[in-house]
Amino acid sequence: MASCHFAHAQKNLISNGGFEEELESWTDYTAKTTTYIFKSGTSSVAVFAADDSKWLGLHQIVQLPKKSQYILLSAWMKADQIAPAKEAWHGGLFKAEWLDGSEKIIGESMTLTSIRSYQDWQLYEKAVIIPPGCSKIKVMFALAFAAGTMFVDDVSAKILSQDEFEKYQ
Amino acid sequence: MKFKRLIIALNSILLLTTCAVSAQQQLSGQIYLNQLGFYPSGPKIAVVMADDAQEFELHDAATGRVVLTGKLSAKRTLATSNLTTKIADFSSFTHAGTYLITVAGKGSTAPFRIANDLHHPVAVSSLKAFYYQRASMPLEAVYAGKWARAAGHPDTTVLIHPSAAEGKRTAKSTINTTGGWYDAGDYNKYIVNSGISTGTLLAAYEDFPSYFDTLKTQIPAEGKKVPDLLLETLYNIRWMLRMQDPADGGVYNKCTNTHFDAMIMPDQAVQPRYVVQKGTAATLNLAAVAAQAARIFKHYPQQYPGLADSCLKAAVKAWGWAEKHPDVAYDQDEMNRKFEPQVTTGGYGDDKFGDEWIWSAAELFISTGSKVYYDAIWSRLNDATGIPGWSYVSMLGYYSLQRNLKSLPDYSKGMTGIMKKRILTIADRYIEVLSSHIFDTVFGDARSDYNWGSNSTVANQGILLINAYLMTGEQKYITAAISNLDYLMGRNATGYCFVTGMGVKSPLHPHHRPSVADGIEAPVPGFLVGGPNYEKQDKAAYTSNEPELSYTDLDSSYASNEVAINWNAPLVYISNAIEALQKKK
Repeated sequence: MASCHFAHAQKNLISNGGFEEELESWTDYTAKTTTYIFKSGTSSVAVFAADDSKWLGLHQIVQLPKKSQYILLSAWMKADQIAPAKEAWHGGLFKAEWLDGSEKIIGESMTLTSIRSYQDWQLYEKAVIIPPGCSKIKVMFALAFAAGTMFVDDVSAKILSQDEFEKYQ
Repeated sequence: MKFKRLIIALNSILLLTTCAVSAQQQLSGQIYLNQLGFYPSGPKIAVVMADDAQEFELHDAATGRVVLTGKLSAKRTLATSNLTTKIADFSSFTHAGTYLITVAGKGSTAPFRIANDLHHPVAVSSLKAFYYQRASMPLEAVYAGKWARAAGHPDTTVLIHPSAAEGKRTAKSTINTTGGWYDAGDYNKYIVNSGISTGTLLAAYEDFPSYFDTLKTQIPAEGKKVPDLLLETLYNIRWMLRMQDPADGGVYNKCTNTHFDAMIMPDQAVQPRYVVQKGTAATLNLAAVAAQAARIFKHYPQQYPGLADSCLKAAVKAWGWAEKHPDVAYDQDEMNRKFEPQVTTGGYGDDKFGDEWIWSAAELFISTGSKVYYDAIWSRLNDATGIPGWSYVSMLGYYSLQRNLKSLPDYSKGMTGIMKKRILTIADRYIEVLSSHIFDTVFGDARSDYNWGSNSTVANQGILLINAYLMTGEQKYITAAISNLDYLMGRNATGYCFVTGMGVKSPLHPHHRPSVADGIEAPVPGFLVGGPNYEKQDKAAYTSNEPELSYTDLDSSYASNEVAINWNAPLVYISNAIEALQKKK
């Protein structure tokens, strides 16, 4: 049991988080992989918008191991001329939604970060508590009503133990 | 010889009953310390506005004899301030007595004590202040002394505002919402602000029950053997319960005039009173306080038969209403667009309820053991937390869960472990700034610290640090908490002890209607004023633009010199807690 739990704690639940297999396992809405700009490996994903009229991006829904309580979500992100947004929440978003077994949203979605303007590669990570009734998580990256280009690489979702989670508090 | 004359003059000042008025006109304005003094074994810090001075002297106040000579620290500065200070640390001096400090070229402090029961006066006075805020009853001279006054606001026939009309409670019908505390400098009663105030006082009792069991504040005991803190708190809890609609469990946001009264005494303030619309924040505040009260008052079944059960029933019913109405904000502007008469008193509008859910769920989980409430906390535990304010109360739930760990089921250990870590993370962050701050306090590291009601932030930081101590037993947290109490009692850039009637330089003109209108020179004692506020929303006359100095002792300064129950409650907690912990040593 202990080794099984340890295995969960180490495993990245996101498939193809480095976009080395293009957009395999991801649902995309106009995202493209690129081999010119990346954090690691040989490619990343880019979301480009010519104007600020749309919500563009990609997501992946992940099944969570039973009885999981904590999860560490992380991604490297880079902003290229993401235009100042009209609303405070507009920009290049890293979001997550909690889903039940039938993929119905539980509670409110979480915004882990919103990037704008020019910004070099930076790691964004957050240890979060999985709410009651949640069996899946939807990890999203979106250029939300903002022009410019957002790059994403090395996306990760790892189950944490109690001790590991407390270290992030 | 010069010095001896100074000592004699200072001692004469102390002998005057109105010493606060006289002393603040005569003493050095460049050495700042807790005007009550220090504990023999505790930290002892004075702050000197910096120049070339290198040394300080500690004198026996009676004889003038120098008992300690010490070196001032290197200059301290802060990125957000133009002030420069040096620190006089005489913590090594542990003899009880009355002393004062001199610095060449800076003059002298007033005499102060080094004693074991040092904060007893402010501990008692800050709690007694709530008695002075009681609505609907006369304050008799035997309890109130020269601040005795006639009853104001019976509130036995309070109108249902059209915004609150529902079922049998039609617009302009009346209900009884008698009792409770006036909120602040005004005469209205707001559930949201009552919630955090009452909860903080009950928390103080839960953390230090044996100490409060013997603390006397000279208030009416009603023939009951009940600690004064609980007697006082119950006066407001009963009002809060009356604000709940028994038909559905929802709670009205406030009992209020349509507009603020002039600066008159309570019995002369006779505008019609209304209860306005129910709201999620108000209802969850009652749920939290009533659940907390239930587990405390169940130990007084003979004095208050049925009270604990009634409280718990009210809490559960309030929770049920909130579940059906999870998002009802109190938006006074919107209410005024829809209904007459218009209401322009304080709004306490809050449209984010995650923190109220956590606090009320925590209190109900402790008092009932039901997993429903545990799940409600867990599902919101990703929300950020921080020191409490009236619109941000989740930390009150954190504190309660930590103090009641022994009564919680094993499955909650993970959750309470996370909460403990979060509390200690904040506490450790506070301690990091302590040794470099210009006033050697936890508070005041950022310009934004000096906002409306900044003194309540000072006190609430102290509460968090005391909770950190109670969880770990580490003395560093107490030392840091004392630094903030020292700030409130005079170790700050204004040189004011911010509690009325305390120390040698305290507010004389608080924005507090009874203090303005009662014809008595001294303000009603025991009130913590709001404190420095760089935003100065009141446009009153201030003498400085430094955030630390944005305070003015004028009754027109509601932005820096008002009083409020949610500011006094954390002062009650921190001053009494530190007294209680010192007694234990």
